[in-house]
Amino acid sequence: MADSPEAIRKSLRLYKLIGGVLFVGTIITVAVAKVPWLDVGHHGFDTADMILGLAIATVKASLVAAIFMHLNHEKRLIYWLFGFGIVAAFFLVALIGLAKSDPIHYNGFQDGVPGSETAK
Amino acid sequence: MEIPYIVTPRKDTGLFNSKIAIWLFLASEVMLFGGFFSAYIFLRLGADYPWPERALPVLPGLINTFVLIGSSVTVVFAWAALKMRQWGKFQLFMGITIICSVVFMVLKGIEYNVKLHHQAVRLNDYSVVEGHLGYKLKDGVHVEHGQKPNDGDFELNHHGKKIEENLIEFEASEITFNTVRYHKDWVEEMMARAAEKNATITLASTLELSDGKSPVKFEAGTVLDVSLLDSIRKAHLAARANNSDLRTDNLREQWKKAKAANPGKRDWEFAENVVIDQAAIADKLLPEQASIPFKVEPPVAFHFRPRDIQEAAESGALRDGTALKGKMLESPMVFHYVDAIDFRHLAMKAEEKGIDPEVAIENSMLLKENPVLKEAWDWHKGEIAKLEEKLLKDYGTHKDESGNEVADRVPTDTERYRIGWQDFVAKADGVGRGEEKIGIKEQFMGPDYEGREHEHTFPSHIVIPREEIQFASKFAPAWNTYYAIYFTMTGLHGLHVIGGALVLAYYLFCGKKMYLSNPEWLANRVEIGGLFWHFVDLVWIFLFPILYLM
Repeated sequence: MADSPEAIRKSLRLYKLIGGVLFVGTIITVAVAKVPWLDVGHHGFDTADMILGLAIATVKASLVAAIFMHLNHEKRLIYWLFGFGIVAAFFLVALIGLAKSDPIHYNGFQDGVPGSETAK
Repeated sequence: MEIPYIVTPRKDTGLFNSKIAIWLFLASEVMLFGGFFSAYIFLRLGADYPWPERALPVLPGLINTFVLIGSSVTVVFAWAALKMRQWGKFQLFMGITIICSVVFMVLKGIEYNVKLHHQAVRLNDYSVVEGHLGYKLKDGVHVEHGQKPNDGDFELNHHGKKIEENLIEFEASEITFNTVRYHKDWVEEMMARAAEKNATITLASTLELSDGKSPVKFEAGTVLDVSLLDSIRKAHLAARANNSDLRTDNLREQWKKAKAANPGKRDWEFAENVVIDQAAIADKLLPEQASIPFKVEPPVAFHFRPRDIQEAAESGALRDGTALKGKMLESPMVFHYVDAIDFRHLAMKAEEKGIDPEVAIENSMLLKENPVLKEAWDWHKGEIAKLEEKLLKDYGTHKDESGNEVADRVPTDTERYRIGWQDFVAKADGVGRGEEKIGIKEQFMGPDYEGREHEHTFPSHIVIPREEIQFASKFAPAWNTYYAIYFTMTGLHGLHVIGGALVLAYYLFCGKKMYLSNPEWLANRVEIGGLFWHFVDLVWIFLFPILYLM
């Protein structure tokens, strides 16, 4: 990690640059959602917008983690600790997959018959 | 005692201890927020109503994103200043960080406040109306369009507050309070209301009770008062305690007798025959009074919030166990301003039933009963036709699987079936949909009803009969799962902002002594606080697009 005063002084420029990138990233995120000619995919919100929006957010979050939180040059133990948290969080999100692949799931009771789902 | 390894790193890990601790904490935080993001996806995929895509005003969220990113930069600058032993710069950057956190929470507070004062109602046909309710005027008069009532014209409750036109009116001739559970505030409101109408609420029959020591009598005709109810409750509870003691003692006695009469037998073999000797204690029991009946003369129309009463034509039951007799009056919900009508849910239901959504919308109660809304809907349909044409012209067509020529881009369901407040503004300004001029204040706070009143921008005085209401709520967690998860996630994030800001403020205002004794120690602590702060920013980086833009 940049720990000496000289090294820290040098990294201040990088922090400013990353701050600028985060601002620009935010503007792009809003622009692709709000400006019609920047709209990707179909008209209005769709999967393409979702992927683009989340991709920009992921890049921004990675920059914050890597530069501001110094994960770009951190000790191995920290990678293990934080990595475990992220893997566990992904597992929580993946639980939705289990629900979606549940063979006996149904969209509610229709005409009083349980399981008479309409496939969508 | 000196805590080891908070300034210098441990040899085995290469880290100072508090750094390991904060990363462990952040790992658990990732899982906490991960669970909520998972819940969000689950709720969105499983929603049985049209999910409110891009429903929130973007500007407050955008400004807050800038504020948080800015504070992330300043907190890392504050840490760098400490590392370079520049106390003055540390104070400056940390001060800016704290100010950013305050700005963030103030903006969030304004955003919440706007939502919690914004009414929504879903009708039986699944059409949705949004806007602001009016306040009741004296003698049942409603505020008409453009009318500016004086403060003295409004009906006030006993706290002196105006009453929203979303109350159930029930003309009661008899009120029976639950002796133990009556809600004092409602009793006082009834007393005030009766006094205003020159009516009396009096005890329906004489009650002869005892406070455990001496008899107490409450004469029929005594005027309702909270202290009267308190006295009756006191006597009732004393009697109940006395009677339960008597019953318990008697049962113990009976048990002893039964044990003696059944030597060698197991308890369960004779237990069912052991009962209280009611005759033996009958003359010692004190009278209990579980409910207290009152007469209202002449009958008075009381109003109750919908969630406080279960009403029927001739009776009502309040949440505190109070029973009412009389008759239910017309209790419409009156929108002083309607700022959106939304037929997406209605269209979804119509499609499920194989009905053309357009036909279902034309037949909705809202359009049939309210010419002003019908006019807005006709205008809206014209605008959507223009949008359709424009999209066709700009993006052309393609062939679908059956070889039919279809437009590449078509209006979304939200565009098709929802008239938002910006659309009402465009209509009033005589411009096309999307060409309206909206100032920053309105983008932030929502429509300026009064400022735009002279243009008759928003349909006003829209009456929704009570029997047409399926569900009504402010834009609060109760309204739908979207607002539930929005408030949960942003609320939890807001608590993190407050917590983080308090820790950073502690370093700013109380850190000088530590800085003078060992600056590296303070630098390490600021680094730890900063790591948490960056994490708070990181969570918001995802929350903003997910809640505001998707």
